[in-house]
Amino acid sequence: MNQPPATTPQEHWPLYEVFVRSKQGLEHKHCGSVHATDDAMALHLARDVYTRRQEGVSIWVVRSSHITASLPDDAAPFFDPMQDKIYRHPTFYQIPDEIKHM
Amino acid sequence: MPYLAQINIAKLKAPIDSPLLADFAAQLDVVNALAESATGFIWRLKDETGNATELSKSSPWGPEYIVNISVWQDTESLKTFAYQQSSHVGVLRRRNEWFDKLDVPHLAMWWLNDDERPTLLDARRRLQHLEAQGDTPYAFSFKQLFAPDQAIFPLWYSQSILRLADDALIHAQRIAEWCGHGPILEEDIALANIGLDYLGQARMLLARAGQVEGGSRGEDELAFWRNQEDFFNSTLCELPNASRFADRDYAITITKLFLHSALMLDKWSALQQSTDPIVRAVAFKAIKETTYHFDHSSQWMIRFGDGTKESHERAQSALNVLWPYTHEWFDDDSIDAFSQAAGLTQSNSILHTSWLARIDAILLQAQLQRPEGSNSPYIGNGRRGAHTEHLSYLLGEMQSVARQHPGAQW
Repeated sequence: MNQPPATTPQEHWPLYEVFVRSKQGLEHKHCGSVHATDDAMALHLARDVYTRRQEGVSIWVVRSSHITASLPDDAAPFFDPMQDKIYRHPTFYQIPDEIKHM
Repeated sequence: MPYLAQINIAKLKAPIDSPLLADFAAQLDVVNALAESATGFIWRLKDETGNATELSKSSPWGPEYIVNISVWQDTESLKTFAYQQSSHVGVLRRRNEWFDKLDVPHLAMWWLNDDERPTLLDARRRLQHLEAQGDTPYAFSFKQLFAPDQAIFPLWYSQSILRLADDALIHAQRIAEWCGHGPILEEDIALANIGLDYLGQARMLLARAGQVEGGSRGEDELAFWRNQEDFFNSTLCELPNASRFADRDYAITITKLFLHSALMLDKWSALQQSTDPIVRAVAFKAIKETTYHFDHSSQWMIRFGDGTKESHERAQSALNVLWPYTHEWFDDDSIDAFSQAAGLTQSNSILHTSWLARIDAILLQAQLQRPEGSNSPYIGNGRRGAHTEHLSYLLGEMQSVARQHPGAQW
């Protein structure tokens, strides 16, 4: 107790991303992250940090290091070419009145 | 088989070693020896001197009183000794020379369960009850005797509920000491959630206890205005989070939660059959919370035990320190007997095997040793209102705001 640990737990413990499904039938949405030593702990801590106000009915956790993400530097070649391809949007159809929520 | 407990107190006109009391003091050992050989005698409270005069000096009544507490087969055997045994009758005849006449009851009797032994605090509670309420099955005099099975009275009922409520309340308060000091942010929140589960259970049970005792005390009065000897939590719940390793040792907190939630899993599921609708409702809600508490603490026990050398050592040490206090959970006393006969609660001793099995399964994975049992284990007295000094500090902190600002509202 006299000597401070060489590294803080936060530096040691792996990071997990947390996905919560708020209602049956809806998708899991990313809502944050937790530090945990193992998968089981990550699930417990995600439950305690992110669903304590009844936010969820199901939780996924995944090690942040297992996620392969696009890089900010790649944003231009990745996403810009889609800007002028509005024909990919289904906006040229007349939607009948009976169909709601589109 | 029920036994009869009795307490009688006498106020001395002078100190026990003074000339005025010399004749009385001289007969004390003889009368005590005669009592012990009397038909139907089971047990008496005594100190190193062989009688109870030293104990009396530090009793709740103060040094000018002498206290006599004993256990008998039945009311007949006590009556025969007290009023027919010639040496005891001799003492009774001269009582006005040695003792002041009391204007409150000096003798109370009540029924005990099997090998249960009365404590000073419990005896005082009985005597006070007799004074306030007259003869009842909870405490009676020779004016009106009660049979062992006559116990239709709210006091044991509310005390039974308070035992559950106080375990939850005191455990919640100990857990709350970690608020903002958890090992990591996420676990800090997890533990606070668990503490709040306990607090929620405590609130519903305290409100119910207040209701059944007559409705004059609500949950706040019971939580903040009772004194230490009127709390009925088991001793383990009040023990501090400190250990020889640290002022706040997470291994202690988790081991307490582990041992207690393993117990409550079976207890809550039995209490779902309680005859009391509120206890039943709390049990239905609490079983889900407790399942999570046990799971969470079990995972930590395994990480500790199977972790580093230090975490293993701390977890094993926490187990060794806390283990003797668990015996109290499997003890059934007279309050439990009344409560079980009425279907309010179920047997404690019956839970032991299943509890051990739960504990053993996790300890095996954690590579931790279950501490050795003992043939005559220490049985804590918290559930009977006799506490360690740790509870007084805990209550001091927990009750200070309510007592400094009576009736304050958010």
